[in-house]
Amino acid sequence: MSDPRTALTVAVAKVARIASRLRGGGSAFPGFVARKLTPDINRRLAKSLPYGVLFVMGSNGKSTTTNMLTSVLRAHGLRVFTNNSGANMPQGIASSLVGASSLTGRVDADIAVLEVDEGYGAVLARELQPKGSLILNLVVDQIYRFHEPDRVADMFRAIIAEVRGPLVLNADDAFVRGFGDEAAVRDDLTISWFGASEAAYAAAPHGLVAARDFAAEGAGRALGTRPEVGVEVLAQQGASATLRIGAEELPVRLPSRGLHYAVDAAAAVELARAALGDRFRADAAQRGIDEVAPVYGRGEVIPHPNGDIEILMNKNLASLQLNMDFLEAAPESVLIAYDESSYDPSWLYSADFSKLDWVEAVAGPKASFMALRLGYLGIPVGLVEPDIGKALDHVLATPRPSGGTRTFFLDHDQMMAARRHLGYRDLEAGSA
Amino acid sequence: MSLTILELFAQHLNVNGDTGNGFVLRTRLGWAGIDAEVVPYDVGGELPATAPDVVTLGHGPLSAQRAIADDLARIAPTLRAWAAAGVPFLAVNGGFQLIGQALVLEDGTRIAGAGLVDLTVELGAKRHVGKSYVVDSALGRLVGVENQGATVRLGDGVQPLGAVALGSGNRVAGGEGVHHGNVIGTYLHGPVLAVNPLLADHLAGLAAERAGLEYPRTADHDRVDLLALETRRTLLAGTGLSPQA
Repeated sequence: MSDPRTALTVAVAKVARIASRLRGGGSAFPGFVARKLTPDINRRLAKSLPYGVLFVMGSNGKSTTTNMLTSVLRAHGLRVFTNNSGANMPQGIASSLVGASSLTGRVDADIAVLEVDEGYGAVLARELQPKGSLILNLVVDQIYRFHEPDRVADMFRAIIAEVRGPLVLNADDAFVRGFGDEAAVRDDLTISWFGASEAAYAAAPHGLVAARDFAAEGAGRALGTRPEVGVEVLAQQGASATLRIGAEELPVRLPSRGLHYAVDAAAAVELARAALGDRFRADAAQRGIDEVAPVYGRGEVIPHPNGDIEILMNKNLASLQLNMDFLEAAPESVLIAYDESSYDPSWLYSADFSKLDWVEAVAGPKASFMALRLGYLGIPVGLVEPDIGKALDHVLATPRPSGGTRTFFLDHDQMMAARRHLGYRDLEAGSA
Repeated sequence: MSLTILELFAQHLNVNGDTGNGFVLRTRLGWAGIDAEVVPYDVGGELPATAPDVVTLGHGPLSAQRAIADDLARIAPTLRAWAAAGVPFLAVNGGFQLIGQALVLEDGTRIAGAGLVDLTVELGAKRHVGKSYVVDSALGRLVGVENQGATVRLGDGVQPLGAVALGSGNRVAGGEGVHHGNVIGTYLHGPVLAVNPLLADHLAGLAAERAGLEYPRTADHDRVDLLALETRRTLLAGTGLSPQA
């Protein structure tokens, strides 16, 4: 089914990739070239996949859920193509697809699982025509970029307008529940749900920190009868959870601690169920989730002779709060870093830091904001150091924690910088 | 005795760490040996029977502003009486937009404000998001982050909080916010009081004075205010402006 134009475009873009790498250029460049030559290259390559493309969306948890869904599909014997988290916009996705294609112009896989940024999802949905999609959550995120949650909700609505087939949604997230109610009239969508039981939520100190949908509340549309949920988190304890998959109850191991990881797993399994139909097997899904390794920077543990380093995400209020909430005890050695690009850290004042009793270092260009917040709480801070490398050297030279692990809360840019400083260089390929 | 910091619409107007302002006031008063309690108020709730010592309003999206509009109209007469009696108010961004006569939406719809100050806010200006927002007020230089898209028209004789040194502000005559009696409205986003101790101490001092209490600064104030100074320096990096005007 390959066509000459697609094949030629792939060949030229592969040359562009080699040239760009030699010059130390960006990973999105081959995608830029491919889209210049053949603007619908993403659609052409997506069509070469027998099972098509699946979209993973949401404010938080996209990378982890993409990893989980990929693993679950592989456990079903499928060859899965996936993008790494740095490439979730049109050019980056084109670059990834070209990289995974043979010179015949076909992606070398049965199915693709793509993490999609909400800001670009509608364009990507038109280009890639996904055969199934999921939306994890809508939390208050990057308000300097998105301004308000309602605007993000409109982005998701625009994406939903472009997708067909299975649409898998979070039954317990105010905005996402609303999307399902709004789309219920469409006969080209099959909506199904994932979620967590009341008992699982009751054990989470701050729930999942979802945004409130004030417009829906005002119109009396908020959270009516909860829909029937296909895959549900019945219980979660640390990095273990019990999922109800249809009528079966199965224990799973999560890549890191917390209800948020358990709900990501439920979402991944529900979309696998919807996409695979009769081919879906709960035991394969269980095996797939069990085998998932953490995505870099999201619960990843980096070995180090003077104490292993667990990296937890500090992207927005929800991610920092949830990653703190599910710490097992007050961590012995903590580094928190905050980058310049996340440029309004005001939300730190909504976070509950009671899990921390001291912080060994705060780092990054916005370190002073974190130091000020902790200063108001009376939580001692050992070092305020904008340079993440210097802060790392300081922390890693302190006595090895008795528990053997240090806990670093890093935003995306500081996480990349920290991994580089620790000698992990090949980030663009990712560990996913 | 204990002072009361009333946090109006603590659920709806708290999209950007806004409850940090009440927390900062309570903490700083506590360092000065003054007990203070933060009392959240939400839609449909009861206002305290006696006037609080400080009132705060934070920032929320337009959907939240609409959602609280009816309730705000219900409690507005009491709020006006408190403001007229000199109770200090701090209203930030979305909350600031609701303390005047009206918030006028892009389609011309008017949401009635609390009427504490004679001002009108018109949405529809191009949103300005600035990581360095600098205001020179009578209290001194204030520094923060800006994220707003509205024009603020102050009534005759109503003064802005200050002059915009960097940013958009009210978009009228170079002014920023409002300072009328003890009512302060500002576009300095989020927990402005954490980053600007002089504004925090102005409000804490007013509250203490009205209650007949001394508000002495302590070593804790000094310790944290050095961190706040460093934060203002970070916000001003590359602007050529200094934290003190």
